[in-house]
Amino acid sequence: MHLKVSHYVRKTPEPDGWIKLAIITRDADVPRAKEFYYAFEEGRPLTVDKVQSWEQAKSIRKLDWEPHIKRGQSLWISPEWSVWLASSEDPLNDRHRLLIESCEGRSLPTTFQSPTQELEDLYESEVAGICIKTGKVTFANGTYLGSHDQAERPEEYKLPYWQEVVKTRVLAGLQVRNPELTPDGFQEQEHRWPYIMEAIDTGVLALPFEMIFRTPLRSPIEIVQLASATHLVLVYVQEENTETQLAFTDGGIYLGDKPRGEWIRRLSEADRSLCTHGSTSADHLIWKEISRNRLKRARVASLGRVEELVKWLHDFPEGVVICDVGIGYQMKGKAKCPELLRELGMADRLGMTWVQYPEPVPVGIAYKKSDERWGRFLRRIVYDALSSNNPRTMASVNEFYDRCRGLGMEPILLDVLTAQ
Amino acid sequence: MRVDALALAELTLRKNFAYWKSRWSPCVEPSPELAIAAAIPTAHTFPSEIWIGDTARYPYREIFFEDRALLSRNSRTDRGKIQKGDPVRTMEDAIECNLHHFVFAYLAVHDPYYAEQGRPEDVAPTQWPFGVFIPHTLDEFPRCNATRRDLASPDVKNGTEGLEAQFLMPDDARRYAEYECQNDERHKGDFWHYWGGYQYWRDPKYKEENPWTWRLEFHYLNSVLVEQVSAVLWPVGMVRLESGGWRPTLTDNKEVQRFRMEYPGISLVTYNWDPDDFSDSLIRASYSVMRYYLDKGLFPDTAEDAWRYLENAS
Repeated sequence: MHLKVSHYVRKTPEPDGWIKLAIITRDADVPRAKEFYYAFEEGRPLTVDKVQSWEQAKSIRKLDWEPHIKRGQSLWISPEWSVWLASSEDPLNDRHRLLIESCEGRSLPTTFQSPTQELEDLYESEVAGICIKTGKVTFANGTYLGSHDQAERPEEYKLPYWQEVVKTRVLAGLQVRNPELTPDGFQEQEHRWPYIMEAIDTGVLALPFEMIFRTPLRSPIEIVQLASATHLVLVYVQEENTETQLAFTDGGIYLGDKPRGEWIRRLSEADRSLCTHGSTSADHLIWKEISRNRLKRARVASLGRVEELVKWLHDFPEGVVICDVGIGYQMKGKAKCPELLRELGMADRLGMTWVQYPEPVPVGIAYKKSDERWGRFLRRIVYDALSSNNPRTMASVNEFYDRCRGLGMEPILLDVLTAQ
Repeated sequence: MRVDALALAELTLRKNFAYWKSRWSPCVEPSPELAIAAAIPTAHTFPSEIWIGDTARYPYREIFFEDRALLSRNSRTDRGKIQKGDPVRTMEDAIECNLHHFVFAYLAVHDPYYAEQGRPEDVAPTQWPFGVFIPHTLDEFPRCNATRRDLASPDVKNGTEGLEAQFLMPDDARRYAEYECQNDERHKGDFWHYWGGYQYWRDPKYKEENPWTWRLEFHYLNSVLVEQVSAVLWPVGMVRLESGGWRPTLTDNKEVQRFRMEYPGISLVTYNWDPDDFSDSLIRASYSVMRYYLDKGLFPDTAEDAWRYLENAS
């Protein structure tokens, strides 16, 4: 039976450490299941009436978002009253732990006060082109929030409304816009990476939707880090027993488990035509390797659009595209587009192998590096969002955590964020 | 006819025993091994922490350090511990029989489910449960009586005998347990199958049989003083320290030391309670400690010691 956590038994946390919570579960495969259980004790059901009476007495707490749980995982409560789903053995070292509920309505740790209080310090000052005066916000000419294709130029809002706008933007930035991690789901996601950095740097763009990979080539910007990109992908035309496939899958063995950088050596030895997705972190990595003479410059192309990458593989079937995981999915999705398919016949012919970045790349919400006050403010809003106990916000955050891993990224933890 | 547990007649209770015994036909006399039931302590279970509304309460602190006793529901109401409007279990049958004047215990293993029945705390799940072993020396009628079953058991509800017939003298109740183990084919002559041995407990089918429905229930008038109990099972959990490492909980707050100082004659047995093994961790501890006690005549320091002893013995 697959179980979901529906409730936890309320408990006072310990002042100096994390302690497990007693939980109530239900069958994850049965919508509106009539029975509940203590933790994993499926042989001894609790009735709906009993659970409801406990809920009514507030001795147990219902979760708005019911996470799946399996043996080896537990619900933990931290000294700050935050509830986490994490390893039963060691929650603090569990890199996959999920924030389930924050603070149970109690005050946040003293290191982070409310964004409103922080804004007091920003009055009468200009931040990223936004002028905040006596509780009102004025946007300077040319400054807008949001993505390049959804520009907004509001002129004046009251402060709380503006805070909400920023928060919404941040949360939107946390989400992969298409809910399903399928090739088709990535087709619609278009970015113009080369322009984002300049837009931020020049103060035109205060808050981008996109999650930015902060590579050394993006030195003018800083990020509020939310994840580390650990993997990227090699995409190639998959033909059985071809030299290409053998070279990059090691006879079927997943290269992602090999020592970091091993795949670059193999790529170089294979002497294939290479192509990167221009102005992305994968592109930056390959150019760095070229500059170190680990790859031959003459064999590397760089293209900006996903369709172009697919067409390039059609023209160079022995070649390899190096790109971030999301772009890899987009390529496979594009290859299934009726138009491209008619033209190229590439559907189901693309193979994708995950490989590790030699060093994890920080990923997050970008801001202009010299504008540290704006950065601090963004960081507080992100923290506020991540530690919110608003069910919808928490659902967004948890989905973000899950999807990060599907995209070759490891989300960072709340306490790491506070230390940034 | 209304039954008053405060005014039970010994003769009636003796007749009840004779009646239930006669229901076994043929009735096989219990084997000598089943005489365990004659003196085995009964079990009372309660949670360490409960939340009602936005307030946390700590029953173990009230019991050990304020009341210094397990109190009946009525005594708790008299002392203002149950306020008007507090969520409490209805326990209609028990109240109808005046059983709310008594502290409940079971001739069985400690089970968190028992703490959900008959106490005000049953409005909350029994987390971090404490277990109390009550000695048979408190089986003194009329301050103590027993019922053949929990009055909410389907055996009672579906039977035709009525509530009064369920009441037994304490010594007869223990004797009845022996007969039951011997004659009820579910138990196959094994006392631990009746009582709730961990080896049975691990079988999901055993849980599905709802063992609580066949166990005897003991009632002690008004209160059981902590000084009178044989031993206490004290739950311990591990806290993952943010500064690194681990420490046990509920033991570093000096309450264990305080208990030992205030009740030097009472055995305090710690056991590891794991919320992921909600009932199992308590049941394993209760079973192993009881087996250890019956073998050696004293209680171990920890349930884990007792478990190791049992494993080595087998």
